[in-house]
Amino acid sequence: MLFDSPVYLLFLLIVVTLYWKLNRNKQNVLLLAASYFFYGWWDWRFLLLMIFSTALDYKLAVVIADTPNARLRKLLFITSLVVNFGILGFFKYFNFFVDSFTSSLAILGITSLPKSVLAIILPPGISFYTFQEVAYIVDVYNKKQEPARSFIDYGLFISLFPHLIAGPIQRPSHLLPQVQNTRRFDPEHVFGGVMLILSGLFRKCFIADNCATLANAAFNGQLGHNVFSLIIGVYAFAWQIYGDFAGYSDMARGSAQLMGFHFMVNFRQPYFASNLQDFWHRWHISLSTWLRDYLYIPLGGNRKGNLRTYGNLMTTMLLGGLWHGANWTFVIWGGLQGVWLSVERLLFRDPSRIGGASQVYKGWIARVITLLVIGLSWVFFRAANLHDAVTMLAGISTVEWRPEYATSMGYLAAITSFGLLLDWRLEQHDEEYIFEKLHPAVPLGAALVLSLIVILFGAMENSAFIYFQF
Amino acid sequence: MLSSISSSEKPPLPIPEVVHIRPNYVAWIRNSAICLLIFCLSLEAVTRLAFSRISHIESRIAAEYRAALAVHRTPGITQILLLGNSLPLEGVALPQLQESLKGRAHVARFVIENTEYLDWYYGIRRLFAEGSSPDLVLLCIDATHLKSSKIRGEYSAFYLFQTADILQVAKAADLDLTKTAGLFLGRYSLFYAGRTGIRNFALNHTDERYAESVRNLPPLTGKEQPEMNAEPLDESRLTALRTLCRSHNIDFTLLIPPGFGKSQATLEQAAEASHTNVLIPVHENEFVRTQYRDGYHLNGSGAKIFTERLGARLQTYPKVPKQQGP
Repeated sequence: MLFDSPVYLLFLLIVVTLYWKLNRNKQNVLLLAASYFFYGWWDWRFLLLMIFSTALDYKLAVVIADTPNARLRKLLFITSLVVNFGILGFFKYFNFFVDSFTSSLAILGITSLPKSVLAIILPPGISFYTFQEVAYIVDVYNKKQEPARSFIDYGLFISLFPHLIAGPIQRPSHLLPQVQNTRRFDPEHVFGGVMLILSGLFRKCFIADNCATLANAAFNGQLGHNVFSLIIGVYAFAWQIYGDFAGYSDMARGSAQLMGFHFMVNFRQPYFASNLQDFWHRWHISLSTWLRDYLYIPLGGNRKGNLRTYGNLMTTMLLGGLWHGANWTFVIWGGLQGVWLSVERLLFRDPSRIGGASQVYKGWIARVITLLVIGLSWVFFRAANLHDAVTMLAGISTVEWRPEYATSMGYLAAITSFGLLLDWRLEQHDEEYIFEKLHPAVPLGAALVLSLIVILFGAMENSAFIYFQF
Repeated sequence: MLSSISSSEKPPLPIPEVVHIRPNYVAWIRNSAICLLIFCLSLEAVTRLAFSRISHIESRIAAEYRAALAVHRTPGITQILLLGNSLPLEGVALPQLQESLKGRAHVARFVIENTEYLDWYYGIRRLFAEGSSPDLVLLCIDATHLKSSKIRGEYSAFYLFQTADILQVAKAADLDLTKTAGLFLGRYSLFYAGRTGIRNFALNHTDERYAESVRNLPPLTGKEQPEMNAEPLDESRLTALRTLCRSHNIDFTLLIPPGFGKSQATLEQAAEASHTNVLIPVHENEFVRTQYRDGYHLNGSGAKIFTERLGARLQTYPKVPKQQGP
């Protein structure tokens, strides 16, 4: 059930209407049933896997919290991590490692092995709910979080449908208390939810899906391979993935708000970032903070000297890259992030010390450099394989103008100017949706105008969100 | 005096507190819902009333749909219903065909671009159910379309599928539940079904050069655009079409479009095995590239010859060679 499909909007309307007629316990039962229905709508075969994984962590967390035996606690904790990462690794990386292994053997001349033993299908949302379960079990083990004593509550924390398939990855300390306590109907909050859903539809159907046409054409080689097709491809993909994922996140947060929940903000105008570290404070915030808290800091963070810090940054970003998918392109994408974060840390820790231009210019120069680094890394993120990425980048050495580039660039500029204006307004006024702080008539009017633009120019092909594949 | 004046003075007015009036969000949620409902209903109304008039493609399809439903058997005149996709749209010059059959037959054309076998199998079912009763159904699709299990999507749901058939269509086309639900909505909403057409129309009128350049994108490298191969065809699909028409006492003929490769032979074999009539006005590889617009669709000169020969073959109807089946 895609968020931008009419059937999801109907589903949401029915659930929300029933939801506010029930008391808290019944609300949770309804939401758990609705969430399992939502997941089963994607692929009912994997519903049992998710329920098994949820039930196991629920039980282990209770025992970990209740047992005084430190060794048993540790054993159960490790068991949970092994099972969670084992399931994720099997479904997500089995094919990748088998293919890489057989390819390596082929280089050595051993070709008699089958190319792939099994074709494993990736269960929807597994990367997201696994990270949420791991965060929960780690917090319970570290005594930062009381375990849920009701399976309904814990099951809902893991599977609440707005975040189930592609996040935002919710922290136990943030969402679990909301699940366990009574939600109050706050009309302002609900109104904000409606606006977030409309804003998300605009980002997805107008910005992302329109940019997708040109991004796909450029990365499929239909625009040729030269510096202009590279610029068009990277720029189009940068806005496609941003509109797609930020749009999804807005719709997820908006849907949750209709039921009185609050999800953490997942995007905060990332292309206004002045350095890569700032970018990661604005892009997929729920993942970057998860990686920081459950990987980078446990590895030692920046507390163990410069060399170790760079190593930790690299490890975190490489694993962050691999989290996105079982492909060397994601590993390189993560590696590039890690390298540039280290370079920033080494050379530009204090930008004010860099002489020359005024602060304003420095700010803009920093933004442009950051965008270039992000753009370069998007080539690896988008390309189907390393060969395609290298072919795309090799185009930089060829300057060959075609008339259709001008129309494509003009079209992209027109589409993305809406995104830039939207983000500029949100950045300047610290709003979550446009005109949030003005009288409701203003955001409602804006939403209607944006809806009209979506209707006339939105692709609305119900194309799957990019992050659903992760 | 002063005191009296003083006493007669009204006490100073209290300085009003600045009260922040919280907007009535419940009312605004209600307003939003009402606005949204009106908005959606208006869209549907505008699409049905205005878009189907201002868009050439939409008005043609709507008119052809009505014409297809209006086909009824008439003594002395053979009623032919020509169905298919862009191949007959560009390959058959309808006025020329009508002229060549004047007094003998009447041809009603109902073609929708990007439609394939499943669209038309269920489309014919719906046309018959809604009252269309020609003497002959002439379906023009090629081997690729006959093999394909794709459908045009919600647009077909609006014009070609019956509500009761949608689950069968979805199963045959291997659609997921979201897309299946979309078909149900598309069955009743022209706006939803035709949203891609509306977008293309808007794009053509605002940024024509961009729309043109997207249309002219070269095909993906390594992929033949029309997949023309000589793999044997499963005749069951032709049998199903023939049986469907026969159950309404209507003849069915497969009109094979010209092309390159060896697919005509496979179509003929499948037709023979399924006892289906075929019409081949132009043989494979007979036309040269200059008679095609894009190597696939005929251009004006190709269409003229194709139509001429088609008209000549149809003039002999009902003596078009019939292969009697069980």
